[in-house]
Amino acid sequence: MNAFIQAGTVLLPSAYMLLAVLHGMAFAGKRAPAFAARLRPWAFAGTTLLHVAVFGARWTVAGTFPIDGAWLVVSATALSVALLFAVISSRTHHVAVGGVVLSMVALLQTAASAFGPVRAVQLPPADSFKLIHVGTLILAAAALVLSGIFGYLHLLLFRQMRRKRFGPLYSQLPNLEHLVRLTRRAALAGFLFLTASLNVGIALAHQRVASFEYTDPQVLLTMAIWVHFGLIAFSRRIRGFSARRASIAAVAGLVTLLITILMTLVPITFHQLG
Amino acid sequence: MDAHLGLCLVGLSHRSAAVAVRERYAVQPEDAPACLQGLTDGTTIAEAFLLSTCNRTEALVVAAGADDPEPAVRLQLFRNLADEHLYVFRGVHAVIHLFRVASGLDSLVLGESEIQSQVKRALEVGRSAGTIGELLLPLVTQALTVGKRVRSETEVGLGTLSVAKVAVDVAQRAFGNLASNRALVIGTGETGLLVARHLKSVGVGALDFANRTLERAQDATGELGGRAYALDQLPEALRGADVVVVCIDGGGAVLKREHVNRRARGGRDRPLLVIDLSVPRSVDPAVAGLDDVLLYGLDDLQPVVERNLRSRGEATETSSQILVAEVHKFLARRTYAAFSPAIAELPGRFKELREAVLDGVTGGKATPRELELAHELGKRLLDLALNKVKEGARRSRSTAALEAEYQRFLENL
Repeated sequence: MNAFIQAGTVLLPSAYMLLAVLHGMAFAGKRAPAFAARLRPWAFAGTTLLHVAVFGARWTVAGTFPIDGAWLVVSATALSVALLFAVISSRTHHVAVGGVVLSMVALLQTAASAFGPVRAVQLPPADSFKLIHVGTLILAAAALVLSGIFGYLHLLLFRQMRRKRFGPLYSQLPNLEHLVRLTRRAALAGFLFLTASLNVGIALAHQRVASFEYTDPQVLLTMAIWVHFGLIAFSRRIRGFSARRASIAAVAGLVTLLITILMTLVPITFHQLG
Repeated sequence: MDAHLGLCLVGLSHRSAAVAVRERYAVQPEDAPACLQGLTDGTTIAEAFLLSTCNRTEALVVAAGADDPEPAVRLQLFRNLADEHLYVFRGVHAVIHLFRVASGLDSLVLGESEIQSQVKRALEVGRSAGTIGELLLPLVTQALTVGKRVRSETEVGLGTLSVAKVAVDVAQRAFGNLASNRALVIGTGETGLLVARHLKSVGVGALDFANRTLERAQDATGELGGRAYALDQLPEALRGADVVVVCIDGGGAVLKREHVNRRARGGRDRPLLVIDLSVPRSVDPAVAGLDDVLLYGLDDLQPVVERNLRSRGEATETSSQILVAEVHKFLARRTYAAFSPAIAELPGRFKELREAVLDGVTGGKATPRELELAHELGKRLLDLALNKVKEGARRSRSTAALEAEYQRFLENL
C-alpha cells in the first residue's frame, strides 16, 4: 500500500501540471489544439481519482482519518480546490481559468509531495471533532484559495483592460463582474467553513491543550484571516469597498493563509503539525 | 472539367455591381416562387435555386438537356443587364462559388453569418416551388453544412467589425450581460444611436441619453426608452451609470474628471467604463488616471476592428482547405450516384448468377451447407464490388486537381 502512496505522491504534481497546461491551452481560443479539449475531462478525472485513491490508501494504512500534518492539509486543500473548480467550471464553462487555478493546485501539491510524508503510518484513532475541525479547515482553505485566485484574475483582467490590451486574457477570462462575484462567493464559503473550523478547534484546544492561549500567533493570524475574508464576503455592502479593493484583499488573504498553514511547521505556536 | 454536372450559376453581387444596379435586379421574397417557376417552365432548366439578398441576386440552375441554361436565366432575371455586372460559373466552379457564399467568404462583410439563414430560406422557397430536385437539394444542403463547418472550425466569423459593436463588447467584458447595468449615451447623433441600439440589443438594464439639445435626447428616448438629460444636467445623469458612451461633436471636454471622480460616483462598488467615440475627443484624458475608471477612445477600439478584419482574412486560408474537401466529397457523391441504377441491379444479378452456377455445379441438388457457402460467397463478392465503386468514385478526382481548380477560381474572381 505504501508503494502505491509513494508512487501517487510522486506522480500527482506532474499530473496536475499537465492538467494546468491542458486548461491553459484554452487561452489560445479556437487556435488551441483539439486534443487538449478531448483530453481535459479524462485527465481531470484520472488525476483527481488518483489523488482520492492516495488518500484512501493513507486512510487504510493509518486506520483512521489520515491528515495529521501541515503538508497533508496542503495536499487535501489542493484536491479540494481542484474539485471545487470542477463544480464551478461545469456551471460557468470558462475553461481557461483552469490554467491558473490548476497551476496553483499543482504548486500546492508539489510542495506537499516534496516536503510531506511519502509513507503512511498507523495513527491513533481520530475523534469526530478533529475530523470536523480539519475537514472544515480544508474546505475553508480551498474556498479561500479560490477566492484569492479569482481576485488575482480580476486584478489581472482589470489591468489588461486599463492598458487596452485585447489579448487572450481579455477574450478568455470571465468578465470583471463575474470574477468579483466568484471572489466574494468563494470568500463567503471560506468564511463559513472557517467559522465552523475555528469554533470546533477552539473547543478542542480548551479541552486538550493546556498551553492554549488566544494570543497564540497562529490563532491570532487565523482570526485575522477569518475577519478579513468575512469583510470580503460582505464587501458589497460596505461603502467604498470597491470590487478592485475586494480583489486586492482576497489576494492578500490568500498569501496570509498560506503563511498561516506554513506556520504550523515552525515552533512559534502550540499548533504544531509539521 | 465538370460539364456533366449541368450546373450553371448566373448572378450579380457587390463584387460586380453597384448598389443601384443590385437594387434594380433584386427579387422580392414574394416574387421568388414565380421567378423560380418561370425559370423551370421552359425546356432548358430542370432545377433552379434563387438567392436574392441586399448584396446579391443569383440563380443556380441545372440544365435539363444539352442546351446551355445561361440565356434562359439572363432572360428571366437579368434582362438588359450589361455583361460586366454579371458573373457566370459552371460545373465545379458553381459548386465552389455556392460553398463560398454559404460560408460568408463572398460576403461584403467577410464571414457575416446572416447569409446562412438567407441560403436556408432560399432553399425552402425553392422546395415549396418544386424547383429543387435530386441534384440541387444535396448540393444546397451541403453548402449549409460547409457554412457551419467554416464558421465553427475557423475564425472567419469571429471578431466584431464595427467600433460601435466593439464598444459594447468591452462593456460586456466588464459587466457581463449588462442586464443589471445602467448606460448613459452622451450625444444622440448617428454613432450615439448606433451604440445605443447595440446596447439595447444585448439587453442593457437601463439606457439614458444626454445631449446638447434636450429635444434630440427626448427623440432618442422615444425610440429606445430611458430618460433624457440636457448637458447641464450631466452630474445627475451620470449618477449610477456603469457605462458612459460619449459621441458628441464640437470639441472640448464634455466629461471632466470631477464628473466621475470617487466623490461624484458616491463610492460605488463597480468600475466605471467610459467610451469616447467623439472626434475630436470629448472626455478629459485625466479621467483615465482615476481609480476604477476604464477609459477607451476611438484610437483604442479601431485597432481591434482592424485586427479582427485581418484575422478573418487569414482564416480564409484555412477555409479553402475545408471548401476543397467538401467539393471533393460532393463530386464523389455525384459520381457514386451516377452508378446508382447499375448498383441497384447488382444484388439481383449476383443472385441470378449464384443460382445458375450452383445449379450447374450441383445439378439442382445443393446441400444446405453448399447453399450457405454460395450465399456467403455471393454476399462478400457483392460487398467487395460496392466498396470498389465507392472508392473509385472517391478517387475519380484528386484533391490536388481540385485545389488547383479552386486556385483558378480565386484568380478569376
